[in-house]
Amino acid sequence: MSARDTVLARVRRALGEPPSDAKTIEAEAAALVPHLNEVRPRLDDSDAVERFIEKATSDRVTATVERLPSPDALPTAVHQYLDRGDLGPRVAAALPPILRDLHWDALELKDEIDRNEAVALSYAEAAIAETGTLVFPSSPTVPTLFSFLALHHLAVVRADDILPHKEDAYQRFVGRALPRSLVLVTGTSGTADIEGQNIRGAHGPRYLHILILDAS
Amino acid sequence: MTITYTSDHFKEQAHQALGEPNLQRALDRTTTLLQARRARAYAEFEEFESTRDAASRIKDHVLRHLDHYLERFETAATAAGCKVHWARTADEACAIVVDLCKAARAQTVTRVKSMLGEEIGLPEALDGAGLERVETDLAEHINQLAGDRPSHIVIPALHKTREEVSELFREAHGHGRRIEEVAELVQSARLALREKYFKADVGISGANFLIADTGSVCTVTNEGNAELTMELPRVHIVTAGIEKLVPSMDHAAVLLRVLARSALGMEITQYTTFLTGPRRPGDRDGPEEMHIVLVDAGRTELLADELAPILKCIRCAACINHCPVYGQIGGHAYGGIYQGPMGSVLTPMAASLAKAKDLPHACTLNGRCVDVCPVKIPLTDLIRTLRERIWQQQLTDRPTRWGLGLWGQVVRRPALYRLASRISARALRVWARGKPMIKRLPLDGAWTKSRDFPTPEPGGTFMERYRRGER
Repeated sequence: MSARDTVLARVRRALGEPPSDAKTIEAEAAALVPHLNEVRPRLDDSDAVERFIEKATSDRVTATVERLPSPDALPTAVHQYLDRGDLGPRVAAALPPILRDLHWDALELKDEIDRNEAVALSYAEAAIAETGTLVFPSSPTVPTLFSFLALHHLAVVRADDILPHKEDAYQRFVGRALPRSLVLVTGTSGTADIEGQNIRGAHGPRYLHILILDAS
Repeated sequence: MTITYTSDHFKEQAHQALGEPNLQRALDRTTTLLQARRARAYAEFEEFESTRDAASRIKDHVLRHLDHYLERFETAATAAGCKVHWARTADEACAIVVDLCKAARAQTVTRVKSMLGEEIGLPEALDGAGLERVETDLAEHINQLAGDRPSHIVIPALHKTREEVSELFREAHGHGRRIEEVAELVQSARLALREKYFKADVGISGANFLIADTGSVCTVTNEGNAELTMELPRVHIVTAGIEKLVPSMDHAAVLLRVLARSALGMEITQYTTFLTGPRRPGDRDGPEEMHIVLVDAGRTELLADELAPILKCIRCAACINHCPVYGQIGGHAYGGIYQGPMGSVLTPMAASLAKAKDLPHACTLNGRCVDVCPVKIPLTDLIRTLRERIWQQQLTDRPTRWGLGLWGQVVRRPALYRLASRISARALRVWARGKPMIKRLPLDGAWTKSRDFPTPEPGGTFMERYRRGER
């Protein structure tokens, strides 16, 4: 008997009862998370964007946030961030065409990311107000590594894409295949492995700067 | 590869741990902090009890229909392009991983911390196969340099002080400096590990959850080392226990909300990643092959047992952080891979009850672990069940059996019991010579070897004082 069949046979023997049919099991599973508000923090009526900013800039998440009146303001905002940190003009960028095609002339935008890249700019398809989290589905346009290799991570998200809860973000993928990798990013790469002290920039970004684009 | 358990030397190891000032300092610094952080996180989460109920019910449900979910997961993961492997034993799981590494002609392998990997002896198996193994989790990197096992399932190098880490990095990272700041130590490791991520041919990770309906593997980390390990090498291998399944992403969301709060007092970890299959056409990163090894290694035996609730464990370590015994002796004394209350139940599975018989007895049954468990595992009941088995299988040493047998005879006769308590309470007061604690009990020196016994209060036994209306 194959290892697979052995393990499954052992499971069935352990459970004893004859297996229920798939429909019954699925109905039981669906009933386990019936009232979402009982199993997640209730958000008061405050605006999702406000809540997101509050969480993202909290002392636990440690991101910085800037709200831009329109996408056109993005290149200037990125430029100013680089100037403030004296980081030079080079940015590894993973943006959808509509943002990639803005006027970036003053900066040196590149589509590849090096192993010791200083600054990466990437586009988050959604964000979660509950925890101040950015959602990055992998795609040819936005590869996963843009969120992990650079010391400075600049993330762009549209205000309309900031959703109240995790489940709302997952909902966006219902009915279509999940991306190869779906990464929820809450802050920067950190560790508490030495004496429980929180330190940022363990393997990935030490700084996360979030640029929220209001609709124009 | 079968690992060596030293749980049969628990008493000596615990005794030794109590006398190690560095360990005591490290334990004190960290467990206090973790308890406070968890308390703060739950104080801000009003829905904790209902979420905990739901989390517990989800795990019960999955275990009850484990065969269904295993098959469902296999189908979905295969459809996403993964290759699913099954392993009956720890050795079989290691052999599958080593063979996959050989097939990939791998020289360097990066690893993300996975307790299952530790349990099945995967680090030893990779070393044995001549592969360069690189532990990427900071704590596991420290342990690898020190040649230590994890002393805590979430913070595996909890036993190390910053001074000791500094000493290890001084040589291993080749800079020869004595670093004092924790932040600088982290930077030193960052530089050393960055090159290895790119050099690796195979990345090996575990799974916090396996999502049955999508075939996804969910991992949570704060360091971001998991993603660099899973995305960069050409081949990615996941090893996961068969109990890691959840029905869907929404079910995972419930468990994720209690996992990070219970472990580190956080609402969410910095990175939560769902991987569904290998690189797709047009992708610019991701592995070309993704393998998932589903491991039994004793789990189906537990499933048939009254100890089955331990399979609900999500490895958050809240029970460990709140265990007064762990707080005194640390993780290595347990002599296995898992520590504290959950370890006292799992180590007998992974080693054997005979080898781990002292662990269920190293528990005061105070129940703090049960109060903090996010999936409501009745840990003290399970520990009591193991104690019964140790007794039934006659694994207890003869003087203890004889003593407990005698005690059993006495307590079943109330008049005799009261007389015996009266005599011993008075005798002990004389023996204590006015001190509040007794350092060595007459006739039971072994019991007081590693603990003190409180001197009975004046005024007689509880029953005597109760009758007089004093209690």
